[in-house]
Amino acid sequence: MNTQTVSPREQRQKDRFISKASQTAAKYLRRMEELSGAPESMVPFFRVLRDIYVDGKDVSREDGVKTVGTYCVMAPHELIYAAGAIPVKLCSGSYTAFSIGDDLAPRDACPLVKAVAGFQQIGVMPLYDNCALMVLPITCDCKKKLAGYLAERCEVCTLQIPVSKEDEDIEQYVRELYQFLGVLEETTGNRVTYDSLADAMKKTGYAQFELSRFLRLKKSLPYLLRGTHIMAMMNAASYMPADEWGRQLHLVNRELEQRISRNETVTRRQLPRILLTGSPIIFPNIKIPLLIEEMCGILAADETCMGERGMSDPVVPVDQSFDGLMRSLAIRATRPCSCPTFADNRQRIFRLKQMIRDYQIEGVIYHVLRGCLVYDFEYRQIEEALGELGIPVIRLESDYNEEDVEQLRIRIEAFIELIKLKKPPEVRRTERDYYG
Amino acid sequence: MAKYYIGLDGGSTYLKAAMLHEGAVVDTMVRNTGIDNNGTAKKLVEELCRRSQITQRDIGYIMATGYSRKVLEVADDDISEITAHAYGVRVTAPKEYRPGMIIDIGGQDSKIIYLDSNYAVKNFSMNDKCAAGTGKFMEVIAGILETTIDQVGPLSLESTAPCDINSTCVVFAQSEVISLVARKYDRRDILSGMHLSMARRIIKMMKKSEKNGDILMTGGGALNTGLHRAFEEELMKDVYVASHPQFNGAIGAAQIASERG
Amino acid sequence: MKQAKKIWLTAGVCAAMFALAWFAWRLPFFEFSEEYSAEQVGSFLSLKYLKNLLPLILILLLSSLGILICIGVRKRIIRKDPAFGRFFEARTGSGGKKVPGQRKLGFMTVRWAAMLGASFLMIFGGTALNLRFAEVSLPIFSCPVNTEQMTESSCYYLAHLNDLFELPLKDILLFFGTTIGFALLLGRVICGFLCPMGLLQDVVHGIRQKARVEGVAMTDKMYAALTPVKWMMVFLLLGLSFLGGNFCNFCPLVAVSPILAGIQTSLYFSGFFMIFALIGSFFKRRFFCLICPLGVLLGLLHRITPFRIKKDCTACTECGACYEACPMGIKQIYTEREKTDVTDMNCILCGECIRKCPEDNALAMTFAGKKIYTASRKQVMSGYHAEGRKQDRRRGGSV
Repeated sequence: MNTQTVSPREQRQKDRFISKASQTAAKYLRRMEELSGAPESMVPFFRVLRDIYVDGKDVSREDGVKTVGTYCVMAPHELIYAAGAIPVKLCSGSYTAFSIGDDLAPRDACPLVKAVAGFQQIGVMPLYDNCALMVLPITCDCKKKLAGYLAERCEVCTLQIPVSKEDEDIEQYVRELYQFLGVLEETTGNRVTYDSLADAMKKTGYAQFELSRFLRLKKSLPYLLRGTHIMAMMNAASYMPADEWGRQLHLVNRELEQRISRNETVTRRQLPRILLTGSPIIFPNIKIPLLIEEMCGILAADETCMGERGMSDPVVPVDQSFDGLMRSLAIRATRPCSCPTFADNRQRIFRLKQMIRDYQIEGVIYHVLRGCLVYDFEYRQIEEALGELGIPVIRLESDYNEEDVEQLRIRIEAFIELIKLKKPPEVRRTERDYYG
Repeated sequence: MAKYYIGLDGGSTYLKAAMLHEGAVVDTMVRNTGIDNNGTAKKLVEELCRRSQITQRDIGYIMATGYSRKVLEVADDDISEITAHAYGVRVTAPKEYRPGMIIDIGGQDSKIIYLDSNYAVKNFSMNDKCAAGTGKFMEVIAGILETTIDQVGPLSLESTAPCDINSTCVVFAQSEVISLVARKYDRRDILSGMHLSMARRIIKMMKKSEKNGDILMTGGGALNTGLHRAFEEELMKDVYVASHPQFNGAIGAAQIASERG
Repeated sequence: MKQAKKIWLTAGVCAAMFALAWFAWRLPFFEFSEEYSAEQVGSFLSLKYLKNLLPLILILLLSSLGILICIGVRKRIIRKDPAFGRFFEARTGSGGKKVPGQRKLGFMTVRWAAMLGASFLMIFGGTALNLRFAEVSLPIFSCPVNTEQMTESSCYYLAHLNDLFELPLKDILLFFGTTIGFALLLGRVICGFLCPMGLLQDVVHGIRQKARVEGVAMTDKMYAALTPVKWMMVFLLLGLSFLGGNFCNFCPLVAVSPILAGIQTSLYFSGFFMIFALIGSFFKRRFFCLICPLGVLLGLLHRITPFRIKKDCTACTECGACYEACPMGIKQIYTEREKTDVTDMNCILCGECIRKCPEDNALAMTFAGKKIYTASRKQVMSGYHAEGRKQDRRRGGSV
């Protein structure tokens, strides 16, 4: 897309970047695939991640279909589909891009934003460079400044997220979404009609339907799956059209049903069941899920916006009119969202409690990306609430690099050991049960 | 004949060893870690045997803990330092201690471990990648004030008006202390202020939901009477000190070894 | 300043309502020239029946006209709005496609059947099936001018309490006994399952859904503004007779049951009120229920009725789907975080919240402690099952 000539030095820098980035991605993909127990039908999801991060491809789509980059879960993908484009989640976990972005943003800015800025700066990822529009819900200060940074380089549309979820705030957000829809129409040149919106909602709705089935299956049998694989699968949703993702998930569900009928699990041992919450975990920054499962823990569930939480809340249209559908989208994007950007976010505690109940969680790892203030802020509250339940919780701060892996390893290992020793003797098996 | 059990604690600067016999601490020993962790550990084990006049056959089980626990091949197994500390206090805590919280101040990190009434670990928190609130921090400040790490505690107890030190980072605290020195503050007051600031920083790490039981200090930092006092001042309650604070991890490992062996 | 304005506005509305109710008999909507006759028409196909039906037809025509005018006005407003104007066509035109909804058969089928059945019995029970229990008073707005309805409606004597106390003691006791008995046993289930006015409003709402016309989304402040109006209605129902007025000339329900039953009924302000209520409930589901005085009286007993809405506060994600679906605008149902019982005095137990709740077991309706209807994600997403099966077939074919 660059028309100006690239100097050889610049070209070499870009080549270095590409090879480094794809090496990192390939390494994490390999580590993930080495973990036992991934269903065969999940392979297409891993392939998508490989295509994007290792081979540097763009999202596969028909000619002439534009992609619209989104950040955060508050930008309804339905609207993008309705305007005839494909949404791509651009929140990034790339260490290589982070190291470039490190120079563009202040030291304490969050690594996710730095990585995005890095990609934009180096301009070698078709995923980023081909976006016709980027939508940034303003969920935190870093995203706000990122919007300013990106606006100098590409088309940007910001969505103002209300601070609270009162009825007036919802009305305001509905308005915001209409404005966003206007921008989308101009970008794609397509008109949004009732039918196109209904079709779009059917697409994403189907994906959510399959996800709801998936979660039900997952709940029905402990140790059915590894959380790392699920995280990769949820990450792949960022780079696949929703209906395609749903269709692939349908196959996974079928395989899981067979597994359940055979009572087949990823492990016969009673591994400590861990829930991961906090800042988003985005491929290739999946070191924490990997560490948990490599240390003989099971990532039984996650409450992160790039994981289950981002997609699982369904859109519930109550009114069948166009406006009613828009309202249902606005409500879905705000009310059930337990993002700490909202001033009062006690609902997150309840969500965690419910997940602890659903997945028989024994310990919670609270992940904080360095500089992710809003998540860090909520740690106290959640620690207190979980303390009352007697569920151990640790806070893990991490950055987009591999320097802190040892630090993380020590903490995660000690945490898993703690859970194992906490079980009362009659439940506690011998060491062999754990390490087999 | 009852066996001997050895716990090895491979810390960041020192390798500590403790030997247990019939539930009591027989001997403890410390060495610089050096480059060859495993070699140092081997030498330590030999030394311990020689001092107690036993042979390697009398040793029932060796348990390793600490950062370098995975490389200590002399050990039969390894355990995380959190668990080791929790076991250690069963031996080292004073009789009247009701298990609640352990504050461990080591060479390069500090951690808080929460125990239930049966000494089982309920939860823990560790400081981040920063040396503030650790033994290293104390060493650096002691160096500036031309004193030794052993003198830091007694000196600070003589202070009447502790200075205000806010920095939480070793590097910044260093320059803050230097500026205080330049402004002719008494070094006893500076030390006292430093202890209070360290205590505050560690207290910040504590989980609000864990309030039961007493507090016990372990790790090399517990030997510092000034820091101990600072904790008592800031927490406004009694803080106990373990009997062999810097060997608590090693003793805990030995204790686990005795259960295994 | 703002507060004062609000108070004055509310006071003004209430005063206007009071005046309208007081002078209701002076505002004729449709008057038959002949004397009132309670005589029953022989056949529902006779000319006389059609003639007696005239006021209702007029009401329906005028309501439709009013609805069309409202839609037209809103079109203009939307077109001029900077954010919405662009989507003027999408918003006002209706497409052929559909967002997969939910399985049709279920709790709501029962509710619709109950509403249809109850309304039929209340209107034609006496004539068509010869079912008549005159001693029983059901606290329901189904006009007792229709003497052929299955049971007596409590509304007449509630609106004419001065007449009630002139009855023999046995009748008074029967009246209170059955009214309170039903209120205790069913509570506002009567509103959600039995009331003919409720049926009418739900039908009108259903028409709007089919036509994909957007409604009026009310906020909590708008609901709150209706509260004084609601209590004014209660006052009018119970007190107007003592002041010499007649609530029946004001009550919109006079326009339904008796007219459908073929009774020649002259309408006064009631006719206008009915048009207003119909337009209102077209744009806002169960609009009249929000100000229904009988509903308030039934709701007073909401703490002890056996039908309840229960909530599992941990399972709830505060997604607000229940609040959005709730025709009565009960916000606590999604904000509540401690109590397990969220039955509100405004709750008509229609079950819409449970139907739209996507979280398993987060909401449930119970009768005497037993769950009779429970929320589930499966149910909310049931419209997509067909899509899933299609996938199975396709894959099955290719393999």
